[in-house]
Amino acid sequence: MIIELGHFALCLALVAALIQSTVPLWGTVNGSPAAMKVADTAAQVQFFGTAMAFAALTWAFVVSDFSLKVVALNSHSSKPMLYKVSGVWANHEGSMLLWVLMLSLFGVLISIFGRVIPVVVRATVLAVQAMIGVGFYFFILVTSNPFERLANAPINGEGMNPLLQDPGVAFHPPLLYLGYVGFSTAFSFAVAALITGRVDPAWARWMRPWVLFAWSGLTAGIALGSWWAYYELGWGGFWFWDPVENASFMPWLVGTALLHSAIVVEKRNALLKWTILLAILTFSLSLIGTFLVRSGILTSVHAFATDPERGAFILLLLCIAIGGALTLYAWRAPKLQDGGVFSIYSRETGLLVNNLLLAAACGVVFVGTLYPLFLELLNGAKISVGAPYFNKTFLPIFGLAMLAAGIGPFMAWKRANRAEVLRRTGLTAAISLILTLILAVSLGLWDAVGLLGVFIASFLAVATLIDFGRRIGLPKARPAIALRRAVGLPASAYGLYLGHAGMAIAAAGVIAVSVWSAEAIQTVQPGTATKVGPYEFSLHEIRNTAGPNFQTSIARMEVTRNGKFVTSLAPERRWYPVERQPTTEAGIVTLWHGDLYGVLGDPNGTGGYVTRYYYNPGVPWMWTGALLITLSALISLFDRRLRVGAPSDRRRMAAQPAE
Amino acid sequence: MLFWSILTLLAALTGLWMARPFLRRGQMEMDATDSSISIYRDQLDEVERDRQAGLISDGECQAARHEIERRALSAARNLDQGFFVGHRSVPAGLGLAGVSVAAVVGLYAALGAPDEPDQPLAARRTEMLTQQAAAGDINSSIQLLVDAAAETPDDFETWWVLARSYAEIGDNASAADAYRHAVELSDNNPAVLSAYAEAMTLANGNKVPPAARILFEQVLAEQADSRARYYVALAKAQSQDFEGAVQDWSRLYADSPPNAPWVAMIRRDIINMTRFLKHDIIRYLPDATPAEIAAAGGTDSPAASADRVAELTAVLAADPTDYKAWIALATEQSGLGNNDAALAAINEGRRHFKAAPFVLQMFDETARALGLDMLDRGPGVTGPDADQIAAVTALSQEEQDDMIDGMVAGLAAKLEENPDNLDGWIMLVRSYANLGRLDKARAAYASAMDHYDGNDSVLAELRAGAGEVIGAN
Amino acid sequence: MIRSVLCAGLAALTMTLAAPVLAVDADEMFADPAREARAREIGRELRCLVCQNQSIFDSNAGLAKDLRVVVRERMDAGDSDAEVLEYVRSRFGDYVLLNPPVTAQTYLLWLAPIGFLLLGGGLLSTYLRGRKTAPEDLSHMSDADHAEARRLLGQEER
Repeated sequence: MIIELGHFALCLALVAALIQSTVPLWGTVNGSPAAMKVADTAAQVQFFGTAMAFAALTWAFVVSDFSLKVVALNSHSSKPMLYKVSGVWANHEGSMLLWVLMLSLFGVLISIFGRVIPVVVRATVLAVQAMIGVGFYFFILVTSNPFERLANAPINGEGMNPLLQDPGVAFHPPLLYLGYVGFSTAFSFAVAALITGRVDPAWARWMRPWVLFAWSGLTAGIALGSWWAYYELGWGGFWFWDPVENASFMPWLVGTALLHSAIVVEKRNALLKWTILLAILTFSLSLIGTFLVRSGILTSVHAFATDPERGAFILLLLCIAIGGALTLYAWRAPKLQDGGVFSIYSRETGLLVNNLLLAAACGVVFVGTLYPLFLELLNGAKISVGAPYFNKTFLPIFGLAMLAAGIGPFMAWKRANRAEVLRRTGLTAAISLILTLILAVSLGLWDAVGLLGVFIASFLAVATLIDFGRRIGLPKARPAIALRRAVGLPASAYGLYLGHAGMAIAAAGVIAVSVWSAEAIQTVQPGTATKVGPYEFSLHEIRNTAGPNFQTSIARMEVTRNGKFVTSLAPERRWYPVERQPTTEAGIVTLWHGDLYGVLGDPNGTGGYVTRYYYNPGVPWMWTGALLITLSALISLFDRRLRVGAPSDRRRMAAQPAE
Repeated sequence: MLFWSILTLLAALTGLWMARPFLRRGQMEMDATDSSISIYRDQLDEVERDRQAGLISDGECQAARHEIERRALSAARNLDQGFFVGHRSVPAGLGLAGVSVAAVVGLYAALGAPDEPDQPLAARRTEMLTQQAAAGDINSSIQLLVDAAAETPDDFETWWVLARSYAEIGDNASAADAYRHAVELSDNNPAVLSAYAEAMTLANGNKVPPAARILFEQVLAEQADSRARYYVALAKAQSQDFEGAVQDWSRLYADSPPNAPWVAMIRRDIINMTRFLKHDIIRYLPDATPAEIAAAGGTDSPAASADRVAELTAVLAADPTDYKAWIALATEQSGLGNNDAALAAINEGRRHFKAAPFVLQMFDETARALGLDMLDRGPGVTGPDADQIAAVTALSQEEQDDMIDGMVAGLAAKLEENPDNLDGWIMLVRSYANLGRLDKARAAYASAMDHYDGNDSVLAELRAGAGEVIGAN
Repeated sequence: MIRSVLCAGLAALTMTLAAPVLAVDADEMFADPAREARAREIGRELRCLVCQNQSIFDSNAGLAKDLRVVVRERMDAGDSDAEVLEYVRSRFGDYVLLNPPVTAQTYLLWLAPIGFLLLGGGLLSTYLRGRKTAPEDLSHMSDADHAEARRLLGQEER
């Protein structure tokens, strides 16, 4: 009965979404506040439905109810509980249910926390949000119903790909979807703006928290996936320019641009059309990502062509959503009036340049990801577009964007003092050049590309520091005053500094590990030392023991530097007898400047072992940077002004008598 | 019915919730200009803060203020200052709720499978077990019987079949427990009693416990049950009454039909007893074969046996993991009448193979065949239990190595007996390679290749699984 | 019982047997680090044919290993980097190259980044030029307007 109630709840969500997408719009046309407010209650019912359906499906996985087709095909009664739960979204049907769960979650959050948004706008936003939902509920119920039953339930399921049985992978999709699907709010706000014709600083302020929230989740999701690859795959790789990765990276790039251009709208009432376009594009890229991952087109164009039901359905949704929104844009956007005027030397221009660079970077990723598909569909030619292409095309553009991110905050809104901007830029460039040279000379690293990268990263870092200093009155102000000002800075300012600093730190880490990591692969007898960069690794005893559902050999590796003991690593080789699958658990010790990474390989039969040693400089910086970026968005969310425009009490008191 | 009621109730409640705005009393909704204006207020604050911090000049500040004021003014003038007045509209609300209920229930009726019950695995235990039992899994049959016994604890037949199933898989302790229930239900039927006592004995490592002996004697009081006679004799032997035992067995042998299944066992025991007693076997076993006469310590040349003992001792000193040598040594020693030495050989072998239950079983069989178990007054012989295995990690490295050596040797022995075990071969090759015995690994690999010669798919699997660790690929 | 003990025993044994296959074995590597580094450089340009977007040096598939060996053999035969890549390409087609060669088919691909930058630059300059000429809304505010604005902004107390 629980399962059938779940199925019923999914139907309920569809009906609620249908009501939510029609009645409120009727209300805005006919001026009926009650009809408009149905948007809120319907959003709540819709979320209730998806949550109940998701809970029922989870329950079916947990108790191994194999009368459910999706459970029978993707689970097994002997799986550990954690992976029974994560198995819910480790398959097509369940992950689509998670998708709509996230979608309706954002809907219900808007209905609850968006009280200050005028009812007309809120009703329109929620109606658009529900339209997306209607499409996906139909998709789920027609082509991918997770509640499909089996007439003869098998006695056990077919299990889950053991590769996915990892805590890192288990929680990567929900976070990723939080971001991916969260951008639907930006889309809804954009379409609502086009429908109501109301785009102003308030609109940007209503939209921005949702974008920040989604963007933060997406950042964390991407970083988590990358981190999993780094520690699990056993050779230190963390990013592959794989289409699936790109599918989540593209919305991130455009979402970053959107986040920044929304600031311009809020502060200066400018770049309205561009911001709306970005909002539409961001979610369109999320939809395209969903299509790429869910249609199976990536694995094989031919498989997609022979069994096109799901792919074609998403493609249709994609065309309706993107095509509809862009058509609406082409029709309504020209009527929108940009307010603020600004000169070439202004924060607005800086942000616009940055936006264009990010968009271009995303365009490159888009073309690189889809070009092989198009070419194959076009004339059957198979080509590959891999890391070398992206390194040559994406990285230069992204480097420029980072320089612009450094210079941007130097410029005042509207009209900046040109000489002052040039002076600060020059100062920043000089300091970073010196830093880069110090690094090159002291460590003897002469790699042109790497040093250029270091220069760019330190440029952004130094620029961020300088701007922060200026903002709190340094160097003129006394420390006490500077400190007081620092405390008084709004949270969004800290969001800016933390985000940019995080970006600089992460970029420095990526560059360091890409250019200066050292590795050694060899067969050694225990006790032999091997030189890896500035370190010496040596293998010591190997201990055999058993884990809960695997057996493992744990080695002790000692790392020394100039004869001094640094640390010891404990890499493992595991064997999962049920799956008959070995895994490597790298031994990783994190120092402030990099990771020491040791992998234990096969024994050679005469007491020796294949070992792989790495010194990966910068990796901890990468994760720290990603964490700072994620936090920066969350900190910005705490800005009083983003609490969706609630006026402060003092103002309210002053304003009331006049009304 | 209950299901449909819940369903309709849910649909109605959610429908009413959605329609709630229509059902509430009329309200006035402002199109709040204030939320826009508050942004400009914030901007003014920021300008003021920047001015105080000296980031902008007074002139810039004034210009910024003017611009913000202008924007606030135009925003206030452009925005709809109007408000909406809502009216309570019960018909509209109920209509909306009604449409919603109809749509949801209709949609579910079209898509759902309301008659399908949930089938969590836990509730499908019986079904699952029946299916597995039908596929020949005796453990599942036992589980089914255990369930049945729990349901109808007064059914003799269930307990009886359960006990026999336990006995079949060698779980004699559980078998004895089940037989005990059967005995109670059968009103002390001698055949059941005898089976019960036998299970007790087997569970006790083939040593007849006093309780079992009493039961066997009770059975004999009622009827001449062959099994009871055998075990009473065994009990005598185990209490060192070899004379009484051999006479009982001899009589039982005479009374038994020549093709009775226990005849071979009785002959073996008679041989061992006469050897211990240094009696003439013909007295008890008139049709003894020459080999049996030799085994009973009759005519075999002791000199040759002594040479063989020396030879085996040398072999074992070099390689204590040669379990066949241990067995041969024990057999030779007992042939020479050195029963204590034979027992010592068996026990030494056991020590080396304590982690290899398969080999331990062979040692037990040898001990039994030589009657040594009558001499050994220690507890019954069992393999390492799960706790012992778990304790492996707590052992010293040397002990661990020893244990692992034993396990590998046990695996090798098992494969020799039953070579049709691909996983076993792969495991063996990898184990040897891992222990650094590349020669043995290669030899095992070669044997496996030989065994599966011609079966290409298995060979490929073998190569993939084991070939690379010895560099054969 | 016996069977389960045996299983447990062997399970404890197999713990020493896990043998993960790792990308790049020690035995296939060049002893000379410079040559090995060169082999890596080449390998990063080649796709493991059975994987998703992994280079042959990042993959542990058997096919990737075969290709690595081919690369090393060609290097031993004295081929230049380009010759090695060409050799592999001639056998497996363009699909094997992660860095797609510039051909009629890939002009668009390679021109895209420049195109995007030019497009962005063009849009930016038209936008900015358009902005400059746009009449700024500097219509004068009357005193009454100021007063109303201040009232709206709750500033009359200042």
